[in-house]
Amino acid sequence: MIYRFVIAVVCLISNSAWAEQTVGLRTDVLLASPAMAIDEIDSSWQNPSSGDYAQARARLETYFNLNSQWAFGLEKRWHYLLGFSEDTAQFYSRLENNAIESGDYDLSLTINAASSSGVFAQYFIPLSSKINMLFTGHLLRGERIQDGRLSGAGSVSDDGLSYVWQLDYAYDENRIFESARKHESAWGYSFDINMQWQLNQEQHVEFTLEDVLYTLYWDALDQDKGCLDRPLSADCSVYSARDAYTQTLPIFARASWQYDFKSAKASIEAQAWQRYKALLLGVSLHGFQAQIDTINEKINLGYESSRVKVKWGFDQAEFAQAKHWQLSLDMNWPIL
Amino acid sequence: MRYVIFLWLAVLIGCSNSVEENVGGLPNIEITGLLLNGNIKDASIQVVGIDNYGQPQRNASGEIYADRFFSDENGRYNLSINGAATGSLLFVVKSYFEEGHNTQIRCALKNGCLDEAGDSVSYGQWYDAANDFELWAVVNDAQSIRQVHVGPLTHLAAKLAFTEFVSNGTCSSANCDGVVPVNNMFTPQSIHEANTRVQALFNSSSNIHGFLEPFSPFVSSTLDSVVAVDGAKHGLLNLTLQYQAREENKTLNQVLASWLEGAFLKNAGQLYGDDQTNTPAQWSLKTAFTNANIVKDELALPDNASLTSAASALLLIADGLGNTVTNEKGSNYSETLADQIAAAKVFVGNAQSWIADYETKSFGNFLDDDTATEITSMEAQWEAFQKTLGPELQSVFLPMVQIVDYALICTANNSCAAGQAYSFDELTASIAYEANESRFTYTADSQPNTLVKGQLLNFGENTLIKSFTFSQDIYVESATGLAIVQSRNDDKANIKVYLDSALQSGVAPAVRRIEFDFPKITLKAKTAVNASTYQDLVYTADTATLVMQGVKDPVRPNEPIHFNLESLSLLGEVSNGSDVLDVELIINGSNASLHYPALRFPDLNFVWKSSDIKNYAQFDASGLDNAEFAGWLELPSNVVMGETLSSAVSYNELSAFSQLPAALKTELQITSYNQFNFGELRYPGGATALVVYKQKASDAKTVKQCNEIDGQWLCSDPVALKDLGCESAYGNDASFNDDVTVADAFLFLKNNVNSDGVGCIPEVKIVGRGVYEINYGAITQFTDGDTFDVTLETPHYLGVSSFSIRLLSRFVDGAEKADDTPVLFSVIGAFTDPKNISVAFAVSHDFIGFGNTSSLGLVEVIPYGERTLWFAIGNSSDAEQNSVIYYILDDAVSLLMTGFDYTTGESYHDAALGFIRYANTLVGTLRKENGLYVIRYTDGSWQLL
Repeated sequence: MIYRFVIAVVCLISNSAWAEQTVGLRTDVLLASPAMAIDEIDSSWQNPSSGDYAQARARLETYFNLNSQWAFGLEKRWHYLLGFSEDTAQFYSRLENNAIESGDYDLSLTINAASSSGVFAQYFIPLSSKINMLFTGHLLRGERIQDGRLSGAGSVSDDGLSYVWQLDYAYDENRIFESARKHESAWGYSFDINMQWQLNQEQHVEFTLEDVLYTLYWDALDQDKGCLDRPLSADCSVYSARDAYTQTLPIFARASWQYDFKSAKASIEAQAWQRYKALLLGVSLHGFQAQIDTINEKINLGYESSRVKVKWGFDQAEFAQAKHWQLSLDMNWPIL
Repeated sequence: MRYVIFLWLAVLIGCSNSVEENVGGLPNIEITGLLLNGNIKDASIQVVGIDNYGQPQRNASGEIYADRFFSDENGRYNLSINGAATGSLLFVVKSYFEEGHNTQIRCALKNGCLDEAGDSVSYGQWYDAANDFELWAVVNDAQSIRQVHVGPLTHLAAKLAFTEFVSNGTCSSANCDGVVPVNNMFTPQSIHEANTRVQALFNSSSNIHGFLEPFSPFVSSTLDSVVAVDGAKHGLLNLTLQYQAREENKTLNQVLASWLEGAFLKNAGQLYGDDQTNTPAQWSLKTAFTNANIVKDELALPDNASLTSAASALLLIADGLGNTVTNEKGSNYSETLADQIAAAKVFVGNAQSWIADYETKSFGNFLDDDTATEITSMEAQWEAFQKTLGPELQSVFLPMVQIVDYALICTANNSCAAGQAYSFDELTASIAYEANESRFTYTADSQPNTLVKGQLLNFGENTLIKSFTFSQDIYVESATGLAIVQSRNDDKANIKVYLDSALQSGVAPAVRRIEFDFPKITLKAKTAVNASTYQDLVYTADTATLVMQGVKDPVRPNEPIHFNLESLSLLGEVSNGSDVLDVELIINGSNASLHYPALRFPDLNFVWKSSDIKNYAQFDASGLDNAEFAGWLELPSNVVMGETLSSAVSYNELSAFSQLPAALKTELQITSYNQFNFGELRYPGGATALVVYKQKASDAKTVKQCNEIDGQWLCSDPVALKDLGCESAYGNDASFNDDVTVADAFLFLKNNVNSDGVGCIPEVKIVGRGVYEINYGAITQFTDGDTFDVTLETPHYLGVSSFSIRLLSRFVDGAEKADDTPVLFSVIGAFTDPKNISVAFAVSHDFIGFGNTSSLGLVEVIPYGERTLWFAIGNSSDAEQNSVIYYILDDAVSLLMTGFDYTTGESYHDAALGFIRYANTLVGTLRKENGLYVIRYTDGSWQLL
């Protein structure tokens, strides 16, 4: 229903538009899993590398640029943030591969994942001749959720396994017991803020914050809270309840500085998204770009023109072995 | 996370204190039970609600008010109450003589009873109850009640529950004799406390007496559950009411009053252990328990293990009772769901730690400290004993075997007097023969303490059975230990030898079976090899029997006879001073007549890998496939799975009766014939044959089916040839006529297939190997001399049809007093082949007796004690499922959980593995979800096992 409304609004506005109007398709996919190859996240984690997260985000948007100030669009987005201590990764690996050794293991595991779809409106604000701002508001409908934390201490000895873990877990599908998925509903919002500052003819600075205040309000959700232990004690158990739930997801931040050498450009870009960090050094020539991620040992290759932007990032060309993988695509077409 | 399975069952009582009317159309609650063991008929029974003031519902006249029901001829009642009823219920049983009713009591004592007028009544006879005879029982939680049995013990508990004891002000911190009963009210707490107090006083482990069906001599016992022993105790104690009335010439009411007002309530809900203070003595626990034992003896019911266990347990307690008043407290009643679940969680935690104990064999959580220390100490000594003597155990028995072997050989060679050449394992050994006494004496120069003497005699008139009887106690000393076998005039040790054929000079004795029977064996291990001192630990077997079966493989007739264990029984003890551990080992083999080569000969060194058992208990995919059975369940002889024996079966014909073997002629008992046909399928070790004949030309053809094993023939009664067949009669076959031959008959049997395409002679059982399918091929007729290959279908396994290993501690403390918390370890079960295995493991603290568990299907016995941890595993080729049963007992709380893991994909099983109950109220379930065992409680909480 809301889509129809937005499309109708867009059509009405477009009739009175005076600037070039375009429609576009934009996608941005980021996969990062330094501890384990992306393709093996669901495996038994044999020989994990150092690393304390596995994160992925993807957005798929179709948009309509009404004029130089307004744009509207539809979107679908996925966020997956798995965080863990390196102890946890080692413990899980050894447990799954029956190679667990005696010792104490402090365990910490967090999962925050959601998928949602919705509409957005973007407004361009020229603050001065050198500074511009782009503000985007998203109205979202939640579709999937996994939000949980498991932390505590475990010990393995000749006498067996012992642990005390605290669990706080909200879900539409219980992944501990592989229960059937429930179709839950939520509404939510988030904002994107982009600021561009032309320092002089050569230098350009850009700041971007995505998913600001990204919040989903779930009407009713199954939740497990409490503690798990072994050996069992009477005062340690998990309580299952169904209640309203509010989920928040972290901001994705990006800052870049670019120097224009007339025919070529050099750039430095920093990215941060919860545990994911990236520092990219890049050059571009006649629209072709190349970047090196000095933190994640990743290479980004891209091309940019007025109608299309494309970027592919990877640390291994073969996806099955990659720990970092990124794809960005933005295409637009004039409709008038 | 993915650890061992189990589940809980709490047995207490629970509910609020109200009675509600049925307004929602709930189905009625059906309740049944026995009155005084089923010995009161036509008695009135009323189930009375307890109101919010703790009072039984009464009418305007102040009389207890409820629907009235009556017991039947078996002393059983069946009634219904409002389906919406909740809270506590009072069961009131009264004699009733109105409206045509006539309440009567049955004499349940074998030696007779006295009726209410003091006249003699014989066993089984009914007599009128007294007008005012009355029994009560009171229980909580109407919604959970399905059976309530009313008797004198429930009467004590109900009266106590209705009575509150308050101090008269004379209590001190150490003494509170000064309490007075005040008629007050029923509360859930008072009901629960009173019921559980009486339960504890009268030694019921599994449940309060109201929920325990009592034993009755008039009813074939249905007590085949784990509560059998407690039911037997309940029944015996109830019967002491009649017993005491008879012995003291009193009415039942008078006896009941002496129990209740004269003792139980007088002592504020306690009893003297053994009253030596008052004159006359009050009714005491010792009186009750001793009388129960007398009643059991008077009943003299054979083979009732539950009664025997119950009586012996009560007698054991009675022996330890003194002239003091008990101070028993019932357990607290947890009224709220939160409390009930909390109690269940405590039990879950305890049980998990016990399971861990069982895996680690530490028992630090399960046993009390003293017993755990004793067990650990005994274990260490046992290991030292085994370490020294174990590897050389044969050496202390070898002289006894060799003297028998020597006697057989020299008797065969007629060389005993002159001296028989013989190769002894002990190089310095020799055997002397006293011709006048026909006595052999084994000695060894290097072992001066070794002395074995005996005579070889025929056993009865059968010269093929020899008995070597030892003339005196046997002493065999080896480098590592000493064996003493008692052989006295009244009970001689002996070894019986069964021969295949008569002894012949120059031919090794054809021994087919050996039976060892030793009245008493004592084994001592030396402190070190060749030492002259012995360890403190001594093993003694009071009765030791061993039967070995010699077998040959008919496919390999030149292989030597090998001896398999057919049965072994060692009933003895391991002692260290005053500390004693009873040890029972009983093994009965199955398929003991199979031939096993030496390399595959099973031994008694059971290697139970706890990891195998654990994997099995968790339904691990490997099950017991990797478990070691110490050589048991190996394939026999040189059998290979799926093997084909070439030309192993041959078809042979004989045309004349005179050509038959003599033994077959004798068996056939055919004196004359007009026509005669003989055909057989001969296989290694035997044959199956058809004899087709006519006695007169005018007769229809007759057939006998005969089988031969090892030269012995056995034939069926004759039948008309037209009736031959397993699926249909030969006479109905198109090929049948009066001229058919024995070969035609065999062909018919081969082709007379059932719906699965299997004929009448599809396979052959080769002794010592297994069952083989006969590969007939596409033959259209049987011809003399035809041979057929056979392919192994099912091998014969040398298995164990039953075994039992039990260890019962009888330790003493530092003051040389017997430990009052004996521990029983028990492993029992059977494994006849890899697809049919059942084993039960149990450890019981403060063991008191056994309960019969045949209803559980796998094994027979679960031990009772203060705490019992028991689990059984089993698989069955019939049911195509692996199963695990757990029974865990913690004083008043118990768990019984059954789990199945179907071995075929056809069945789907997602039911809860078990249920946790507190006071009969369901508080949780155990399920397997995504490979995890989770207990889900009814308040929404859960725990992972």
